[in-house]
Amino acid sequence: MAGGVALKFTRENAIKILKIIALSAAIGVAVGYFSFYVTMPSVSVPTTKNPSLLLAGAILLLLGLIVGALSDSLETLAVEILLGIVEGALLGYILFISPTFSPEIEIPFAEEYIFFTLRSALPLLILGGAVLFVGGFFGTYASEHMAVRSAKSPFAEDAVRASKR
Amino acid sequence: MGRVNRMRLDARRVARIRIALWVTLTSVSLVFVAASTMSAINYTDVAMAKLAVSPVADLNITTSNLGPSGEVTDDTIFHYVAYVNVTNPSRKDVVLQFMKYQGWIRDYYMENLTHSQVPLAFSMIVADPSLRPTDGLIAANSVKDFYCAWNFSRTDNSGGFEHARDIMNFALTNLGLGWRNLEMTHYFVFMLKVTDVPSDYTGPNSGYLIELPVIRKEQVTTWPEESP
Repeated sequence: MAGGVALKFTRENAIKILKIIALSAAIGVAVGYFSFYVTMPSVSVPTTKNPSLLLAGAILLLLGLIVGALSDSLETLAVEILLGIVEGALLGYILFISPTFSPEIEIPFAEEYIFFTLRSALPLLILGGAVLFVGGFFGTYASEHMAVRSAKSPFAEDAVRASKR
Repeated sequence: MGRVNRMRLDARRVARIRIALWVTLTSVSLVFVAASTMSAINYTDVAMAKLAVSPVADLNITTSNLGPSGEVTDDTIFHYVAYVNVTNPSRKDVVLQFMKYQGWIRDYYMENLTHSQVPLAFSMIVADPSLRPTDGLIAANSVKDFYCAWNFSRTDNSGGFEHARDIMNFALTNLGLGWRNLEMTHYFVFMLKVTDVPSDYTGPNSGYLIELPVIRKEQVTTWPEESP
């Protein structure tokens, strides 16, 4: 085989893909909300006068830790974060043009909103990605550390059976 | 050996931690989904208020101290009364911050001077009497009426009044038109604001946030309505 490995559609692979989708969706929802929260703090819920980037960063760091702990490896973590950032940018844009979805409001689709959203949310997307990756790195490390230790545990087999139940 | 076992993490505990992490992640995601949905609804309500709130002014002008043949004298006073009806069909409370008025009169004198090179010359006669209601709140899905009265006289605005007086007297003398028959344009600006949206932002890129809750509506009416 030249240059690659064929991906077999097995149950394990399907679970892995579903896991990546679920974890990236969790990142995407958070990043999307924060990109809107930073751009439009006066109409976001909760409404605020000064959006706290520190709070957003702290929450994204914790989220990164959780996602990292649940990821299979650093490679899948990177994929999940990149997918999550893209999904977040998309969600931020959808939130930004959300009034146009109301049947009572007739506003033509504005392409410039795409650039406005991207320009406004770009710092958060970049910094958010970095913070998520830092959190994710430590989460993955902690998870692998726990897995190694638990594999040595005399109750490992019981645990595998328990988790399958 | 016992100490080593105690130090080792129980595999069941690891499985439990993973389940707890999934539950936490799902809960956090649901919170973000709820916050995003509520933000979108809130933003849509603000946009709806900006589009749907409609103030309509009905202006009534009367005079006192006109001259014997209907001419405008230095003692003439024009009494303006504006009834403003604000309809707020949105789900947001809005507040009428102020209304501004400017009146324009067709400048027959100027048109005559320039031999119709300027077919319609208008001169501003009243500038910026502002209505600032003490209780300008218009609740969601409601209608509220406001009332505003002001005078236009030589003592209130000498320059504008004298200009208007000359135009009106010229039209009366040369064209036989009384002041009520003169072509006028009444221009109202209404400034309203959605109440629960902060707007006191500072910074170079915060212009859109300052403007976001502000509702600016204009109304232009011309007298007589079927003017040529």
